[in-house]
Amino acid sequence: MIDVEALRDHRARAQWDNWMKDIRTELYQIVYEKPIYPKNLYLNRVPMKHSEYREKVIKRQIALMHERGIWKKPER
Amino acid sequence: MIKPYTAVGLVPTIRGIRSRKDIQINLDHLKHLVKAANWLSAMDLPVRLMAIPEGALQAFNDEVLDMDHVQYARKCAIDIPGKETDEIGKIAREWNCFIMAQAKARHPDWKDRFFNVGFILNPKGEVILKHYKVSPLYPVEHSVCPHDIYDWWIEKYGRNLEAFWPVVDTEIGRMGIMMANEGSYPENARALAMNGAEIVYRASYPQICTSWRPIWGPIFFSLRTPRPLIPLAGTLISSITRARRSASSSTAADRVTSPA
Repeated sequence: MIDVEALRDHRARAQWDNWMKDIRTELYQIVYEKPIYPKNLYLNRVPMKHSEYREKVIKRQIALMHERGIWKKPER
Repeated sequence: MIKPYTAVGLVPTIRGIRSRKDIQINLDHLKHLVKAANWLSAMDLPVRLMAIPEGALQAFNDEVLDMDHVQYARKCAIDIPGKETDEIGKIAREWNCFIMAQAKARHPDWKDRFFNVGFILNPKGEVILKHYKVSPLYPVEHSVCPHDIYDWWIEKYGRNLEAFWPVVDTEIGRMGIMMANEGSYPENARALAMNGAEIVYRASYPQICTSWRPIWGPIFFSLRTPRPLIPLAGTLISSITRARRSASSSTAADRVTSPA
């Protein structure tokens, strides 16, 4: 059963767990200010196959996280 | 290289406080609880980290009793570091482990206000991180949070991840804190991860918002059929400590199990 009115009723009355009304947007903007995943990857080409994608995207993305210091490199 | 270790999440009985000196009752209980939990949990790997749940020092009388904010700030909130964290520091030193915990605490620049603060002690008993909760449980919790004084906060601490979701590098990994209602917002977990957190203290949350449920429908079911609320501590909870709880917890006349 899908009760859309129950959803709407909850959002209209619940103090606590209708979280969207309480999003502190000024904070969360900070999280995504620096681009990570490359945009327009396929603007001018066809999507890659597995091996090329691994080399050109996955490895580069992991390196990016290490370069930025978000991730530490494993010692093993 | 960081060798594997055990993390213990304590599940203490907590007593609601009406003044700062009452915290000692909860501290004494924690000291007893730690002994059995640490001893038994260290059989295979050393215990390098202990998590004490939100509310373990003061409980939630400020929320449950809707106490006056200024009065609570003056009479019940602690300072970090302060005499209470010094006591927890003794536990850290005795057991040679890091401890993650929480308290309603003052900020040195804000008179008559309290915040909800997660903190980490190193094995020397020193406070090495303070995290000011960014998402209090709005309907019932009236701790001030950084966003409530946003302009001042970014002036003092900057407008960056570290200002709101700090992490600390240690010999057991890079640690951060996400308390209770902060978990209702995926952005908080992502922010910690983006700031490099590897171990996150995921503190207490009333069960209606932590139990598994399909989206929407069962929410209403849960709200209408309240179940016992169990304080949880840490992402790395040791089931052993929970088993030890019944053996080491004392009965509290003024027990409050309503973490926010």
